[in-house]
Amino acid sequence: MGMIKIGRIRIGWGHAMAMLALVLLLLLPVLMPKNNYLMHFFVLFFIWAVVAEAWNLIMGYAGIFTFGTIAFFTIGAFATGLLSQQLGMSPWPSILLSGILTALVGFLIGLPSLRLKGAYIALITYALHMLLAPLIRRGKPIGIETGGFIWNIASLNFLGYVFPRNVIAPWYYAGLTLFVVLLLLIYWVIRSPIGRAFVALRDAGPLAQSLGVNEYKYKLIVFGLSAFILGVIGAFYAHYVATISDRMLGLDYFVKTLIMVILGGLGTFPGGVVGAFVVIFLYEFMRPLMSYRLIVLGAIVILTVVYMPNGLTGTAEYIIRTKKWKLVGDGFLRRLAKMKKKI
Amino acid sequence: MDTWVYKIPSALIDGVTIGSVYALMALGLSLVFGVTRTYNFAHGSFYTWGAYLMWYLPVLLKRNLPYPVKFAIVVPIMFLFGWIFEKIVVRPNRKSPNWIITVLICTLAAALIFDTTALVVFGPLSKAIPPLFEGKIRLGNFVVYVNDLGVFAIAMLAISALTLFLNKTRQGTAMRAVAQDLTGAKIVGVRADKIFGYSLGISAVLAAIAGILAAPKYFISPMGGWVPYIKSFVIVFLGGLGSFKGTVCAAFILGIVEAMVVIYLMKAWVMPVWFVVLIGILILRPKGLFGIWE
Repeated sequence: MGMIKIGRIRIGWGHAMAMLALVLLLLLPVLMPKNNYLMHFFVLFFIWAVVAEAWNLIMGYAGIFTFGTIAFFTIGAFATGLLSQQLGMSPWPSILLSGILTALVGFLIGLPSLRLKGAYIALITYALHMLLAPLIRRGKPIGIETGGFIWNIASLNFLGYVFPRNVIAPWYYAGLTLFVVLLLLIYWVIRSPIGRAFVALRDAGPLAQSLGVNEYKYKLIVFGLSAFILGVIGAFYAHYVATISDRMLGLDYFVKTLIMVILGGLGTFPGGVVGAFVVIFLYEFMRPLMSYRLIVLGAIVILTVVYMPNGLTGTAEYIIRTKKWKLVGDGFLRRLAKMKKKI
Repeated sequence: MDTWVYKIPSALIDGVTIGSVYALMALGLSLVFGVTRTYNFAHGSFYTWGAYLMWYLPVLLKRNLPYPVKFAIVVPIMFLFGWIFEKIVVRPNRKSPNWIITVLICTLAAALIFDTTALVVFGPLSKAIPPLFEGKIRLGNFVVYVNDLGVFAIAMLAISALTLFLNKTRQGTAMRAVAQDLTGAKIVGVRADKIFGYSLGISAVLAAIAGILAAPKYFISPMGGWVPYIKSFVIVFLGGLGSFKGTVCAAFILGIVEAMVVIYLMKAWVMPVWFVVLIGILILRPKGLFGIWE
């Protein structure tokens, strides 16, 4: 891609776009301080973009086909709910500790299952997902209310200023900070030796392994790290919405997040963010359809997977690069096919 | 002290009953995995929809029919359902280079569509259908419900029919050939696409029968298929992938374990125990009881 020149500074198009978006996001509450609805929309976008991007990191880059994303998100949310309510921890340390606890669970699940290939991991992590709901619903001994609820989770604070529930702007900036920090963390992982190891394993598996790239170790690291990210953002979600229940484990949330990753583009970096933006907007837009919108969402997933396997980001990249208006590019799925791994 | 011993027979009967339901579910899953090499995440929806159709028939026709007639109506519908499902959801992915994973995603989306449709059409309240067989047999202190025996008998009948189909008929042999070696089967002239459709159809029928057999006791709800689905793949793991005998054995073993857990511990412990079993299999014997790994 091309570069933009401003005096002597040269910036890539991608970075320039990201910075522009960041400036716009920083200015939004200043420009529209009364529009709580729009800000709420964007806080949700920050949360789900991180979830989708974390899923994209494990599924699209590390090639671990996990279905446990929402499970880790929920574990983080309930961990902070219990820590701040039962043990009286203040919110920020509690969010961090929830992330660490979730990462521990991730390691425990990853240890036996990451040696397996492809679809098996999907099934095991989905079993974890299914296991959580009955556990939460019967969690009375550890302080979860009947029916799997935790009510009135403490509000966040910053230097002694407690965020009010009816003003969204402080929440907006807290969410934006987490969004930027966690996305930078994911970007760093993709560009770090770990990310390169995955690219090597994906494109030339046996060669990379013969050169001493330990697939299992790197998979475990990324699995734990993504669990940490999901735990942190899940904890933030819990503090933001104040009431959490096992409804979070519903199939609709699950498929909604999956479509963010698929529609945005599996294995492309801003894919999850683009997907989250489009899906959250579409979901609001389709409100008059009521429960039928889940059916529409399911249909969108199938159509995207069949006709646009590289998602919006991958397709846009392909169109810009080759100047051909085609939906199927040579992105992630073609590359994965080269792995020739038996699943 | 005495009650502890007295509970064993009833736990065994409960376990065998629910085990036969799980066996049907798991066999369908195993068949589809063996033949088409895909995990069908909408398998649980077949279970739910079979039971819903059985419940809906008397409502639709405004009169109650005997069970054999209802089975004769539901089974072909479910076969067609599975066959069309293959045509619309699984088939278009086949030309994609990474179709195993895209099929997984598509079937999950299809499950969402089916479940939401069930929720919209039938409502969120769970439904019940009358037991398939009335009456109970008294043996001293124990009471045996005829329905439990009937469930076991129907499941056995379905499993024998499937065995006969796979071993004696031309289509069944073709199905086994595709499961063994797709390329080889294509070379000798087996039309694999047709076989894929049939296997999805049969798995839908098996799941629907399982759903109908379980419905009088466990009720029908839009999301109710997920738990049996997860359990059935634990069974497939324990039995060993691609092993018919192993799957049936594992279903009964885990069914009895579940019944023991329900009676001696608590119902809340059922899913954790299944999960521990799954992790245990993965650590101790990843190829399952009878399985051949990869």
